[in-house]
Parts: sequence; C-alpha cells; structure tokens
Amino acid sequence: MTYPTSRAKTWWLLQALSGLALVLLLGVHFVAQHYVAQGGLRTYAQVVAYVRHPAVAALEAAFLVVVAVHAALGLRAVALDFGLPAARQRGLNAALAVGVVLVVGYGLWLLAQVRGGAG
Amino acid sequence: MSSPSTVQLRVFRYKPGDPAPHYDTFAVPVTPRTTVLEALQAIRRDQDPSLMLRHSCHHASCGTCGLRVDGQEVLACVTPLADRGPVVTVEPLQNAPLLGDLVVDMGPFYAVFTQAGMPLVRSTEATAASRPAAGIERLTRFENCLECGLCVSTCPVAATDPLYLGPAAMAAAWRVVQEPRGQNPARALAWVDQEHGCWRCHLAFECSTVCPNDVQPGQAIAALRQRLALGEPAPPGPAAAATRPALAPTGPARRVGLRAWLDPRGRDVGYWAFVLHRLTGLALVVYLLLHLWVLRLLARGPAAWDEFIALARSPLFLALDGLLLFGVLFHGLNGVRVALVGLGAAARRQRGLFWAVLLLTLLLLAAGVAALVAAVH
Ligand code: SF4
Ligand code: FES
Repeated sequence: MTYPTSRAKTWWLLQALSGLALVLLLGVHFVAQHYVAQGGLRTYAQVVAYVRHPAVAALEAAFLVVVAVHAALGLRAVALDFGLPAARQRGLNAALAVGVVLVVGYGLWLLAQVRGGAG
Repeated sequence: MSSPSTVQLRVFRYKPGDPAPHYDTFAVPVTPRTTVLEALQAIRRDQDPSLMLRHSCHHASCGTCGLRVDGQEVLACVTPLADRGPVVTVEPLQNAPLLGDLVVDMGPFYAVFTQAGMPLVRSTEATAASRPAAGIERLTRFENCLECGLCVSTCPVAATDPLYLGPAAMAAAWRVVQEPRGQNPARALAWVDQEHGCWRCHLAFECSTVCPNDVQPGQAIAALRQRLALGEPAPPGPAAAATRPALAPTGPARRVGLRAWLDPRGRDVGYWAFVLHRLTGLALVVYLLLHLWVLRLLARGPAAWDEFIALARSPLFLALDGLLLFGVLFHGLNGVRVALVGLGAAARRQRGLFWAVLLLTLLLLAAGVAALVAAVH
C-alpha cells in the first residue's frame, strides 16, 4: 500500500533526489573538465571554448537548475526549522520560486553570453 | 584516582518573577556512589530548602528526574556525581516551559504524546518464548519510554521549531504502526506525515544517544519515513485525515534556539553531522550567488577575466577555495548519508557512516588541495 503523498514528503524527497543528482552532476563535471578542457581552464579563450562544447553547456545548465532548486529547498527547510507558521509558508514558497527563476535565468543568460564571446 | 570528597555543584536558579536566571554554587560531600539527585536533595535538606526539583522513583523508572548535567541530558537518579571534576553544572531540561529552578512544565510534552495514540498499555510481556510478529524487527515494548523528555530537550529541531512533534511522540506513533493493538496505524502515519512531523527531523540522533531506555526515537522516525515513502507493508485500517498538532504550551517554552546548534557539550557525531551540514549548506548558498557574480566577468571579455584570474591565484583566494572544497565534499557526501539514513536504509549505522563521510571528505580534500596547488605553480 502506498500513502497519499503529502507536500512535506514531496519536498523532502525532492531535496534528497536533487542532492543525489548534484553529487552525480558534480562527478560528471570533473570528468568532463578532465577530458574536454585538457589544457586547463585558465585563459578566457579556454573557458569560452570549453562552454561552447554542447555537452558541457547542457551539463552546466542542468547543474544550475538542480543546484538552484536544491538551495531553495534547503533555505525552506531552515525557515521551517525555525518554526515558520503554516500561514507564511505560501509566501516563502513563492519568494523562493522567484529566486530560483532569477538565478536560473541569470545563469543561462551568462552562459549564452560566454558561448557567444570571442574564442 | 580517588574521587574528590567535595564537589561544587553549580545549580541553575530561577523563580517566577525573577528578571533573569542565575547560578548558585553549593559544596556537596560526595562518595563514589552519590548520584546527582542525592546531592540535590542534600542541598535542599541542608542548605537551601527553596531549591525546586522533580523526582519520584529513584531507580530510572518514573522519568521525572530528567536534567542537564554539564550540558548532557540524564536521569539524575542514576547519574553518579563522582569523577566529573571539581565543578559540575546542573540545569533544567530545554525546550519546555520553565516553572522554576530545575523544574519544567511537562504539560506540552504529554499533550503531543497523547496525540500519538498513547501506545502505553502494557498488555503483553516479551518472554524468552516471544517471537516478533511479521514486520517487527525485534520486540521492544514501547512501555520502555519513561516520558522523561530528555530526547526533546536535546533535539536541535525542537530547539528552534515550536510546532515540531518531537522524538518521543513520533517514536510512540511508530509503536502504534508496529503493533496497533486496536488503534489505527494509518492515522498515526498521517499524523507524523507533515512539515513539523517526521520530515522535519534532521537525523542528529541525539534523542537516541540520550534516551535512558533504548527507545531509539531517531531510528523510529527514520522507519516512519521509510514506511511513508516506500509504503510497504501496509498497516490495516483506513487512512485518516492528518490532524494538526494541537500544541498549547502552558507558558513560554525555554527554547534554546540557534544556540542549541552550537553547544558542543555532551554531543554525539550525528549532531555534528547535522550542524556541519546546515552550516556548509548555508555557506554554499552564499557561494552560489557569489559564483554567479564572479562569472559575470566572463561576459565582460578577456581583460576582466584576466584580472579575476590574477586575484584567484592569491593565497587568500586559494585558502577560500580549500574551504569551499571542504564544504562541497562534506555537504555532498553527508547528503548521501542523510538520504540513506533518513529513509531508514541505514539508520542503525549512522555513526559509522558519519566517520566514513568524514574520512572520504578529508581524503578527497587532500587530493583536491594538492591538485589546486599544482595548478597554480
Ligand atoms: S523516548 Fe527515551 S528520552 Fe524520549 S521521553 Fe521516552 S524514554 Fe525519555
Ligand atoms: S526519580 Fe524516577 S527516573 Fe529518576
């Protein structure tokens, strides 16, 4: 038998799953850096060439989305740890959702800028 | 070394109406068998009859004598005073309304406990011939719980969240699920399945460390989550709507708040894992924003980026990189531990897992720092 999915359970599971995804993405990130950016990532040209690789760009974008969601859920957990009353939870969720959209939007814009930069 | 014959007992004092609590120090004679409770009773009898304390059975059975001795939650009646050093500090339990001196109001604790379904009726005894029923790992009568409140006092979540159901009540709910005895286990599950219920627990396991009667509330909470997330095996009976905890504290709870996260006295590894996880998590959120701000230099072209690279090679920046690496490694690896333990997969191995996390963090940190230094030179 499974139980009705409560919001609290969903948030916790999402936090755990996004965390596990980050551990995996970070591992892939280091492996990708090792193989794709063999000369290192020191000069501007090296960084631009690196993020122009489509797989790298996809990886960085995925990492950005997952890390923003995980961070927002973490902040939400801390707020609830301090006894945030139910009446304020909606406001907090909305504020965090806006934060995630802003961070992800800005990050993707930066990625696009750098990919379009002089290599 | 023989124990000292006299100990200075530093006792927390507060009477309703006092502007603030203070400590009084009493010299008490001590033999190797003197308990903290006996010393306090001697103070009351011979030095200060106004000292307020609770006790009843004197043999770890009634749960009324819970206190904090040198920062650790204990039953005063079975805690020896000798060999603790020349000065011993005694304080009331935390996260409960303070009535006076060493006495707290247990009303709110009992109120939540009652909502768990009161699985306290002793209708069976485990004998040598007893066999656990299917789905029950081992026979632990929940009557084991003394309702002493030590677990709530030590819990870092109860310290900050006044709505938190708390370890003892959720261990009681798990008992209802394990052995319903006519109660509805689905109702108990629905009760803990809320923001301030089992999902709020951060698996510090201090509750299990201080529990004087091996109730293991931390493991019970992990088991509740496992049941709610994985859903098997199903308990009998229809699901009931979740009830909000009707917490009605009788007075202001003496919650320690954030201080509880940073009080190192008498704490175990699960607690340190929790504190480090929280601190590294918050630091990483700040870093995420900082990182995006720095990366904007990339969008400004090569000159701005070269300036940043020059800065990034400074010793201070490299030291911060090392700190960052520690944060990422610990938070990531302990996160895996939290996910496993939090879903009941390895709740009884949380201590060993902590050491494994720390060892792996330090090994990877050493490798990372070496790579960082090599990259700069
Ligand atoms: S679970 Fe343990 S520490 Fe908590 S009230 Fe019961 S006996 Fe005391
Ligand atoms: S006096 Fe009863 S448990 Fe200590």
